[in-house]
Amino acid sequence: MNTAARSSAAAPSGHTHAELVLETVNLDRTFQNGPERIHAVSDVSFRVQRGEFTAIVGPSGSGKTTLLNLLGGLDSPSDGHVRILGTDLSALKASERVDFRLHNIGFVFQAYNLIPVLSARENVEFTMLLQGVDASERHRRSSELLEAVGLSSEAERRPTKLSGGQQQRVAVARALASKPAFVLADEPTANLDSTSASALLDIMARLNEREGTTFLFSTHDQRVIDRARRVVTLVDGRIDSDDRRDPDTAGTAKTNPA
Amino acid sequence: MKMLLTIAWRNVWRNRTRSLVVMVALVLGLWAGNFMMGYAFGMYDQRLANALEYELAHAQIHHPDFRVEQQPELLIPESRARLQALQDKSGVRGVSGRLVANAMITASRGVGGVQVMGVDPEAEAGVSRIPASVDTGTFLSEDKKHRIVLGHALAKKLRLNLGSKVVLKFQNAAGDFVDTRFKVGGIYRSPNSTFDERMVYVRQTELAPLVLGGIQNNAGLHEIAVLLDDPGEAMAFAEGENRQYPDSVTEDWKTLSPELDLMIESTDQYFTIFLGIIMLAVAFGVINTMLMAVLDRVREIGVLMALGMNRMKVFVLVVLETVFLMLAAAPVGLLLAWGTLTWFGQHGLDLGSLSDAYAMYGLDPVVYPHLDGSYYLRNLVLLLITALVSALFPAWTALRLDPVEAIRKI
Ligand SMILES: Nc1ncnc2c1ncn2[C@@H]1O[C@H](COP(=O)(O)OP(=O)(O)O)[C@@H](O)[C@H]1O
Ligand SMILES: [Mg+2]
Repeated sequence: MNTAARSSAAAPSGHTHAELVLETVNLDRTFQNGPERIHAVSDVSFRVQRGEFTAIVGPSGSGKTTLLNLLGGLDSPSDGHVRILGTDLSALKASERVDFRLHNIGFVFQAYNLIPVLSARENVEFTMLLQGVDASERHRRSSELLEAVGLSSEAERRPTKLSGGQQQRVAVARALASKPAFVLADEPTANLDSTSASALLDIMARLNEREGTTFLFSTHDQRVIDRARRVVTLVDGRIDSDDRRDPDTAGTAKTNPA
Repeated sequence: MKMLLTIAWRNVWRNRTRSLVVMVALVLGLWAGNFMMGYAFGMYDQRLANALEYELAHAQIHHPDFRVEQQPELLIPESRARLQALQDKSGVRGVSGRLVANAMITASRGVGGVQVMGVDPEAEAGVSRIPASVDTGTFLSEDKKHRIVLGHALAKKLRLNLGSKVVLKFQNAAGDFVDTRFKVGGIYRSPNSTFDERMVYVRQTELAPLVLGGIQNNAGLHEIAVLLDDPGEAMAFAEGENRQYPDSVTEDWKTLSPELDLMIESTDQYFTIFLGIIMLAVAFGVINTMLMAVLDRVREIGVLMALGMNRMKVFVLVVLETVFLMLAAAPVGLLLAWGTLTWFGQHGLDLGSLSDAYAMYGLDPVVYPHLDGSYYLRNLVLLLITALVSALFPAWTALRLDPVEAIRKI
């Protein structure tokens, strides 16, 4: 099995030939909470193609975080399967799964979670370092990504010197640095004010359009939901609806300088 | 690896107070460990010097059975000729012939067992510092008869002063008990209170008729104490004497006083235990601090793992932080130890309050500590190992974290 499968994030927009990056089959995750059995995720089956820009929505407690943890290989399902680029995560040993995450999945967290002792640039380079990317390539790519998230001038700052919105943009750059098959973002805008949230969404949408980066993000913010091209709604851990929208009706065009 | 080093190094400076606490623990551990050892070595040397200068000299000659049986008739063959030969021998600095007898001492205020040394005052002063340590009266001056010199410890026990009268009771060579009156003519103080309480000195010419009564050899000696120019030659000297005079036994100081070695050994053990306690304290300090550092950063470590940092690297990260703390602390601790040892090595360290306890073991209250470079290194390595081993548990705690749980943590 190829634990180091990489995707090319450089597929130009508009050429999204249907390549399956993620598939879940009858995914279940239950928690035993004392005598109580909580079905946080129940019978979830869906597929994500390369280049999709998907929101997972649902009220608090509907299972968004649990689902994203399963998709990211951080958690193991009670039943069912997660396949990423054809690799079944449950077939991987714990150490292989860490390596698989490193090469195939980008993470953005609600609380940014940058490494506080590293500068913005070092944070972006972190996963590349783990991957063993050489210094000049790291520098080139981190510059490119910081530029893409509009933080070139803040590259040498530590996270504590950045605003929440800036930190989350660094987090997006960090998630992309390893050239993952897709980026998982759990409520990435929940801690941001609406301006910062909107700016972050602009950046994510632009990266999606231009570089074909696949995004899956959870949210319960209607303004964020409006920007998605596909909306998967969870209710009590089950998929209640799965709507695709015409990309042209998504509100990204107006901020796209191209 | 470079990234791990960077993160570890910066993490060290994140919580300065905490890092400082560990560093202070490491510095103190290193300082205390080295200082204790230096102090112990200072004590050994002094104990040894005292034992040689006051009690043993460098070598002693006896009749082969004398040291075991202590019978008055067990004299060194050809005692006087032997004494003369030794005086002329090169490498010999001083020689003192002695009569040695066990006796009961009776004073108006008490009774005790003593070892009576019958000496020639001048010769004795050439091998032992006891004559020079008489601070009350004199050491057996020529003009006064039947004088006894004893230690302050015994004087105190029997409440004797200069001029007090005592009676010595011996069993002589013929097996008869003899009593003789002596007057306290001098009181000495050696560093060893046990010695002071037991050893008394009288003029040899006065002791000879008492203990040697009933045998021919009135000029015989029980013991010849020899002081050499070089104490390191003692063993070779003893071997040479034994080859030349098979009818007597010459022993160097190590053979004479196995208890000296034993004391040094037990002191060694005592300080090893002490060092162990210091290391234990360091270990607890490191475990505690690094564990707090890990628990404070649960979420961050979870993120590192989620991003694809494997558990081994997380483990190494925590260990590296400890290593950096040590690398920062070690030079300070070593310098402090070296500085204090050097200073006290020159000026002496006076633990006045312990002087009574020290005197029981023949130690001066003022100790001049010193330590060989190799011990600094040894203690440094010991501390590094202790700190590294202590880092294992916190590192293991970090490695066991579940990223999902860790990131959920607010
Ligand atoms: N580790 C856990 N142990 C017990 N219950 C859990 C655990 N994680 C999540 N849950 C429960 O699973 C359900 C879904 O939670 P979550 O995935 O966090 O929802 P969301 O992210 O949509 O708010 C909730 O009822 C939550 O209490
Ligand atoms: Mg959630």
